[in-house]
Amino acid sequence: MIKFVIALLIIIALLGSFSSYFFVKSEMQAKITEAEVKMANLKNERQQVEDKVAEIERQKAELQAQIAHLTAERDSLKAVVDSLETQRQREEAALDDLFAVDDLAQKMQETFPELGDEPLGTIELCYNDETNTYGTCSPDDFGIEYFVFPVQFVATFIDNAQQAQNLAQQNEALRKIESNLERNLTLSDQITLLTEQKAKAYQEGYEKAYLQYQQLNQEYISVLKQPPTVKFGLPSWQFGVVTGVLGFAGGVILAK
Amino acid sequence: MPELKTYETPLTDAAIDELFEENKAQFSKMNTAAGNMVKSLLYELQRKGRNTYIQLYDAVEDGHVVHYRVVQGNAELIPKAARALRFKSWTADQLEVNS
Repeated sequence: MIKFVIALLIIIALLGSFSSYFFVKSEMQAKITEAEVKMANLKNERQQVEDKVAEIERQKAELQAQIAHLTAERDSLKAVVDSLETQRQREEAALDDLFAVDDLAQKMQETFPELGDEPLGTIELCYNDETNTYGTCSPDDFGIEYFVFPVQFVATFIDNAQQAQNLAQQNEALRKIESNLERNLTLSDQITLLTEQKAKAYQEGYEKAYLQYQQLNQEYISVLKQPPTVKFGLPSWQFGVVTGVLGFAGGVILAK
Repeated sequence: MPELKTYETPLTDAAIDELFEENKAQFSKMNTAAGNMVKSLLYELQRKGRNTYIQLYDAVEDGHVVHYRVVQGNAELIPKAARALRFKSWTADQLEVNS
């Protein structure tokens, strides 16, 4: 009877061991599959990120090409402005050279063809302090020579002076705008640099985390595939001797 | 007064041209309208047999004031010319145009 019970217990123990072995094995397999799927998904996501980065880099290159084009255009326009300023200074200096009345009259008519082709007339007048009027000069008076043109034509000079003053103010304002834009661009460049540095830091962190996760996951899968085992077998002879001695001693003590 | 170039009188045509260049460097520094009024004064002093020449110096940049000294001719014509051209003020060595 005792033998039967012992045999039954052994069979139950073996069945339990087998069933738990198969249960644990199937559970491990599921975990391995789950880990492999997660790894594959992460690889896929990483590829998507790399594709997106490549697309951003392509767009960035396009924008940089546009910037180069606009910068070249801006430099060209600046050269035009500088050239116009040089021309203005040259014309102003040439005007300072004009002194003879005929030269001045010719330049005046070139500038204002509305005055006609006929030579501009001149007249000598003297200012009378008593009557506060201009009139003909007596021999002792200090006469001044004037060009003769219609009274209303003076508005042309006034208009030109006003325009010149206004344009000078516009020019000054535009130069300030340009200076502000330059400053703005410098700040934008600094922001871009900081953004790139931040992106690089994130990228490095991501790469490191990805590699570590990949390594850890690989180790995890390896462990799942070959779990640590408990080795069954005979103990070493030293252990046998020690336990034998202890058992003998214990038996002697109990026998007493 | 700064050290100014000296001219032998009577002025030769070359000296007159040289003096004009020197004066041009002064009146062209001034406010454009003021500079042209000074240029008018130079013109009036020379023409019509007046034959008077002055040398400009110390023009105020973009300003209305310039200094002068007589090189040749009748110094009494200078206040007359300045008055006729309605300058703001004039002394023996300074001219000021209205602003």
